Parts: sequence; C-alpha cells; structure tokens
Amino acid sequence: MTKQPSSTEQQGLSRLIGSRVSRRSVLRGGVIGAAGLTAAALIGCGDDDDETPAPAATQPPAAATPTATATAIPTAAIERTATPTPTPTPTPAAGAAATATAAPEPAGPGYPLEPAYDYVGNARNDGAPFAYGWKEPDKTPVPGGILTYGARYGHGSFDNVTTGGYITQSVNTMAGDMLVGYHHGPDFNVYQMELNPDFGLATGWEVAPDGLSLTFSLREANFHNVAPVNGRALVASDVAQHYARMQNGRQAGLLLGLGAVEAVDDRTVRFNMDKPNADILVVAGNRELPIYATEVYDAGIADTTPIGTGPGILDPENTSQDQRMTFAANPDYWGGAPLLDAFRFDTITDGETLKAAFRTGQTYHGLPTLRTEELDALWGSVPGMNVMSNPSLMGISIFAVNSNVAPFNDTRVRRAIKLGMDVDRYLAIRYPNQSWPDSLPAFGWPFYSDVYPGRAAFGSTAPYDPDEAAKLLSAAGVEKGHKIRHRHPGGFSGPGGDTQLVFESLRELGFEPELLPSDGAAFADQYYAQGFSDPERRGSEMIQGWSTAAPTANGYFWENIHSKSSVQHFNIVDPVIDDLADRQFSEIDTEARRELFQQIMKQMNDEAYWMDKLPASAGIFILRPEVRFVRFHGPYIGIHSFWDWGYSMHKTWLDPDPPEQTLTVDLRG
Amino acid sequence: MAEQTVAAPAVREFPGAGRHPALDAAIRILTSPVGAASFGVLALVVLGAIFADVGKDPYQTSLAVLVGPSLDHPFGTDDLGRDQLARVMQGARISLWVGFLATAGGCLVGAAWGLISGFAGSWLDLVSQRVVDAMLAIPGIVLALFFVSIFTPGVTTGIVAIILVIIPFNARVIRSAVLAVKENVYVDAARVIGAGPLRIMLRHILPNVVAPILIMMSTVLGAAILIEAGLAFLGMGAQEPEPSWGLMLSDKGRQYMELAPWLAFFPAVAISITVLAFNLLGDVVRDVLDPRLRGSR
Repeated sequence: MTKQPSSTEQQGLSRLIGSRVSRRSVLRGGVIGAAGLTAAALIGCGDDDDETPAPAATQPPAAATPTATATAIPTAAIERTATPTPTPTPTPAAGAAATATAAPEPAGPGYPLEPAYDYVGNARNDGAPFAYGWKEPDKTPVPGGILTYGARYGHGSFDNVTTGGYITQSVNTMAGDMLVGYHHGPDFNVYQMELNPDFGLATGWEVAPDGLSLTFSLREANFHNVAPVNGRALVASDVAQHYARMQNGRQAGLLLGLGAVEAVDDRTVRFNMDKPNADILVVAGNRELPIYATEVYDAGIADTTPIGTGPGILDPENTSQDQRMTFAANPDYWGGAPLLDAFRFDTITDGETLKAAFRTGQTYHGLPTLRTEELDALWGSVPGMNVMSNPSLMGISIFAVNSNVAPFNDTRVRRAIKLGMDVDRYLAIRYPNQSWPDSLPAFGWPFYSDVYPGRAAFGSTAPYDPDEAAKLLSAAGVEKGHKIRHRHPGGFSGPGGDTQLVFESLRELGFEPELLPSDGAAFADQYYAQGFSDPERRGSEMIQGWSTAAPTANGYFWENIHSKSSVQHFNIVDPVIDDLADRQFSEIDTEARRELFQQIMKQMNDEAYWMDKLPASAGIFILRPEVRFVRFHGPYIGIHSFWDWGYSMHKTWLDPDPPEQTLTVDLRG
Repeated sequence: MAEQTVAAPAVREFPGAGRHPALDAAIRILTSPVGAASFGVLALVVLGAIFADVGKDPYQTSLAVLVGPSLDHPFGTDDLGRDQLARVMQGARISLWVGFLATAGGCLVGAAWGLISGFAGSWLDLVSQRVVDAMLAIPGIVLALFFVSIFTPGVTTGIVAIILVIIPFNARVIRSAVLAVKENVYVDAARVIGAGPLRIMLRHILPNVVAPILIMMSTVLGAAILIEAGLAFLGMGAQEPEPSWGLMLSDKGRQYMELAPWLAFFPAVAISITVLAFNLLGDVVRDVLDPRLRGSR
C-alpha cells in the first residue's frame, strides 16, 4: 500500500528539497555532475567534446526563466506521490521567446561571436536545428531487434559500491532501479525535472518536517530470474542493505548525514538521518545508486553479475569486459516486458571509427566529438538522423594555482590571473556557435539563481581587464617572466586547446608558463589521490582539473571546496568557505540555502581560488532514425539525465520503416 | 749531336681527378638526376625548417578557425586558428632534428659496437651479436613504443627510442665490413710493427668502413623520420602544442578529415616527400660511395 504524504509532510518535503530544489536542484546538480562526468570522460578521450547552451547576453535562458516552468509545477514534482501527476507539458515559455528574439549585446571587443545563436532558445523553439527531443511518430511499436550503442569507454566493474565510471553508471541503470525515479521518456523536459513514483522502486515517500527521517513505500518488483537470486521479490531489507553498502563505498560522499536505513516491514524503508542532508532525496534517484540483490554481494560476484530489478539482464555469453556488453530483455520487468530483444554496448574508443560505425548502421548511437559544421555531412550519410544537444549549465574545466606558495598565496595575483583571462576570445576560438556567449562558472548557476547570471556569476573577477591585472601584479611585486609550471591532464595526446589559450593569457600578463610533461594515467592517479593538493608532492604551480565530487549541491558547495573534503583537489583552505559550506549542507530552507550558495560563490570569486572562466561547449549527439522512444544524453543534468537509459529501455523499439526526414524539433512539436 | 726529345707518356685524365674525394662524391651526387631532385626537395625542407620563425607563429591561436587554404593561410588553419604552413615548417624542424640526431646517435653507437665486436671477435663478438640478434628480433616501432611507454612521451624520449632502433642494424652491418677489412694485409702489417688494437681500429680499419657508415646513415635517415612521425601519430612522440607532422596527422588531421581535409593533407605530403627524398638520396649516396653496388638494384 502506498502512502500519500500529508500536507505537513509535503511542507516538510518542500522545505527539505524545496520547490525550486525539486525543479531546479536536479537540474543544478545535473548540470554540474554531467560537467564533471564529461570532463572526466574528455580527459580520457584526450580531446574536447562537451556541452553548452547559449542564451543571449542580456537575457536569461528560457531554461531558467521562472515562467511556465515555475507555474507548471507549483511545489515541485517531488511532492507528488502515489498518484503521479501528468508530466507537465513544456510550454513555449515567454522567456524562451524573449531569449530567441532579444538583440544580444556584443559579447566582446570585435570577436566574431554570434551571440544571436541562442542554444537554449533554439532548442525550445519550432524549427530549431537541434533540440533535446522530438515528437515520436504515431506508430505501433514493433518488437524485436538489438539496439547497439557505441561506447567510447569500457564498462569495467559492475560493482557500484566500488566503481563509478560513467559508462558503468549508465549501464548499471539497465540492470537495476533506483529507489526514487525521475520522469523519463520522449516527453522528458530537462527543465522540468521531476521525481516521479512511476519510475522508481518507491511508489511514495514521506519526509519528517525536521528532515531527520524519510519513509519510502516500495512497489512489488522481482529481481532478475538469474542464479543465485532466481527472480525473488524485492523486499525492504534489500534497500536497507544496499544503502548500508553504499555508505561504506565509493558513493559515500552522496550520503553524508545519513545514519541507519531501516526496513520497517517488507514494503517500507526508512532513512534515519544523523543530520539533515538537503540533497538526500535527490541522491536516492542518483543513477550511481541502482539497487542490486544482496546475494550478489554475499557471493562476491557484484563486479560481474549485476542482478537488479531493471529491464535488462546481463548476457554473459555476449559480454566481454571493455569490449562488449549485452543486456537481454527482462520479461518480468515491473514496468512491462521490453520490446527489444537486447541492448548492446560496443566499445569503440576512437571517435572517427565511431562515426563510421554510425554511418554504416553498426551502431545506432554513440558519443563522438562533433562540431555543428559536421552535421550536414552526417545527414548526407544518414538521412533522417536525429540530433540532440546537451547544453552545459556550468563550466567543466578548472585551472587552479597553488594558493599555498608565493606569489600565488597573494589574492591579488590570483585575481590578476583571472582578470587576464579573455573569455570572449576563448569562446570564439573553441566553440563558435556551440556554447554560451558568456562564460560559465564551475558552480552550476541553477543551484543559486533563477536566471542565468551570465558574467555576473564571476563577480568582481568577471571582466577581461589586463590593465587592472597588470596593476595588481605590480602591486604584488610579481616580476615579468615569473614561471608557472603547469600540469595538465591531457596525457598522451597533449594538453587541450584550453591550456594553450590560457597560456597565451598568462604570457600577456608577463608570466612564463611551462608545460610539464604529463601522462594521463599518472595525472589521474595523482589528481584523485590529491597529489596536487599536497605542496610537497605537487611540483607545479598550476593544474587543470575538474570536479570529482558528487553531482549534487553538496558536491559542489561542500566536497569541491571544503578543506576537510577528500575530493577537494585545489588546496583551498579558507575558514570562511568551510563555515559557509558546512552551513549550507544542512540548511533545509531553500531560500536560505541559496543565499549561502551565493555567499560561497562571492568568496570563491573574490579570492579567485579557481580560474574557471573557460567556456563549455554544447555537446552534439546523433541518433539513427530507426530508434524510437529512448533518448540518450541530452542536457547534463547531473544526478539525473538522459544518461539514465534504464528508465526508457523497456519501451524502446527499432522502427523498420523510419522517417526519411529528421524529427529533430523541440518537445512541443 | 742532335738532342732527342722523348715525349712523356700520355696521362689519362679521369673526371674529378685531383679533387678532394668528398667534393668529388658531392659533385657526383648532385649531378645525378635523382640525387639533384632529392637534394632539391630536402633543401626546401631544410630551408623551411630554418626559416620557420620568420613567418607566422606556429603556436599562436587566432579567430580564423578551420579556414581553408588561402593567400593568408596557404595551408589553412586548424581548430585553434593556428596557421598550418607555419606549423608544417616548424614540424620540419622537429622532424629533421629528430631524424639527424637519432641517425647520428644510432649510427655512431652502432658503428662503434660493430667495430669493436668485429675486431675483437671470440666471445665478445659472440655475446654482442646475440644481443644484436635479440634487438633485431623486435620490430623497430614496437621497440620504440616499449621504450617510450616506460618514460614520458616527448621529442627527447623519441630520439632515444629511435637511436635504440637504429643501433642493431648499424652494428650488424659495420661488423660485417670490419670482418672483411681486418683480414687485409695492411692490418697484419700494422700489427707486426707493434700497433695496438685501438690504433689498428681507429687508424687502419675505421677509415675503411666509413663508406658503409655513411651509406647506412643516408638510408636510415628517412626511416628515423618515419618512426618519429609514427610515434607522434600514436601519441608517443612529440606532444601538443608541438607541431610534429605525425601528431598533426593523427590529432587534428584525423579528427577533421572530413571537415578540414587540409589538416591531414599537408603534414602527410610533408612526411611522404621528405622520407622519399631521403631514401632516394640514400640510394644515390650508396651508388657513389660503393661503386660495386652501382646498378645492382
């Protein structure tokens, strides 16, 4: 029996997550998380593919405009429970129209930027060249077939307690379900992310007003009919044990504040919090936390045998680590038997090979590095190809100087470097027509703002002001020719374009940047092990990195910046930051928390701990015209996004007679 | 009594007689059509490398991103707006630097190895040649990759790796030459008058194996450049932003093969014509320095 939260509970929940949190927090977290994931992925692939939308310089993006979105879900989808409300129909949104038509201000001193190219606006308007989704043709699904996906990286272990690679996370949702689900499918609107009891194992939930306990009602679902679990029913103790494992695993950072998870009865689970964690419900829907049967852990086979309640059953006969993995349809899936016979991931590490495989129909989708200019040629090869864009809502690449060594322990020097970064130039060279006409801070703006803040997000360090930078450096006594040894994550392919652009800025300021040899694996080892945070081991004055924190607000406003965090890589030791980060963690009042986010942003900018004035590109993703229902990728929403394919897989099918024209228009059709 | 004048016997004039042997060899190389053409191409490459700093900065990014060949950018630009002509010229500098240094290093070490091994004979020759056998058993590019993967990829590491590849070939060839030379009577004569092993090697044998050393050098130069390009192509040689030809080909060239084919075309052409020119020049040098092989192809 599912439970309807009382109004008080709803209020509590609302306070806990907050109406904006439910709507935006997911978005916020997503953006950030995806950025981190993308960065990690990009590091691996050595080059650049990314994401990003682009609102007009003076207009907030439609995505963040609190117009239709805000009214469509008065108190957030999270408050809905056993009776799911219909998915809010994305509306044209006055903001979107305004964005699309507003005359943008020149973005820079004569750079050939095209700020009129409004990524968000385009994606939400009819006739847009690229969008997040499209209206599915009115056809009767045809069962059968194998959907293939070209993955750039191997899957590694399936044990989500110990691993968290992005492909591992994504494929794990094929086999397992999360406790809390998000609305998903072709009508999924990335700007109206909503927890929806139709999509997760919990059919309803209650949250205590003080945020110290959350009670979930479980649906009836069976695990895969595979030994040693053999199709038994999911019970509350599975969930409790799952979270107990996770609290001691790689994802422990997501669950800070969570005390014991208790199985009240077979169908009821309770989270008992040691202290409120304002992100905990969002975390329960995190794709990194799909629930597997306890037996696979007891038997020590979790790394090879993911047995959950999801739509796909791993087919070991057609799976080979780092080469291929196949999920056969689970006929007993609680959401209905999948239409496909199987879903297969083929590892194709080379981007050009991946494009070739896509063209020849060997893979239906992949994640190649694409520029918008390449799409015409692809359409020539695959008429009817559909295109998705995934705007990034935050920067993903962070340069940081070692603030523990002179002269970088002087705030003026750090500020000077940040002021010397010419964002417009970076943007015009790196991502023309494919990014925001403004820079993106490394904190996703949806966490703390209703509207895209643009360059204002960087506060006093926002402008490109080499004269002011020179004055600051002079006042700090930094002589011309001061060396900055930089360690980059480029690995064998060398540093990326960002590094070269930032080096030019540093030279203009009078520094002599020096590129240290770097091997990707060694960099990652040191980076993850915090080698660069240790002044004795760092050996460089500057590094380029990315977030390895959880894609939640706490991930970005605590884990990435707190001096006690185990995943803070940038030597930030600031009592002010620590205090603000601690306070926001348990602040369940949405507005108060947002205020703390903004204070953190201000302190980070004023102290210039991060040189995060680097644009992020919108990713361009392609899908063969045969594919129906499922959407891959899309905007990086962090904790939940198009990456969670498991939600859609059972309704996905392959169209034997696909449309010859692309369906790529916006969700409103 | 009439004085009888006896005419001196006629002396047959040989072309180049009286000239320094090196000058003579150079003239014969340059007067050969293939030699002249190869030299011309290589001269262009060398001039490009020398004057790489004169034109546009090969590292400087610009807003002219992925622009095709034009008057302003004859070889087009890459995705960071960098001038490809400047980068190809700078790449010539890297290729030639790596090629010459690796060849010189590999040939000198290999020659010394072959000289000592061939002259000493006995157990030293046996052991050292088994080491050479072992090195020759490993394909050159694999040996280079193995070495580079142990250390940090880069130009310097690449040079050392290529030297490692060249050494065994030279050691084997020079040893063979030494084995033949050391049987000559002048070597026995030197030994009889009390010359030590070092003196015999350096004064009597080495000068007589210079020709095969030079031939080997001219032959492996092209191979060295090709290995460098191969290492860079595989990401194990020069690293961005260094404009190595191999790296240009694999990185931007491959990525934008369809969108901006000039990014692959020009570095590929540069590699091809340079290696071809070195190989053809090597053939001519061999013909000139070792007349026995002339026309034996």
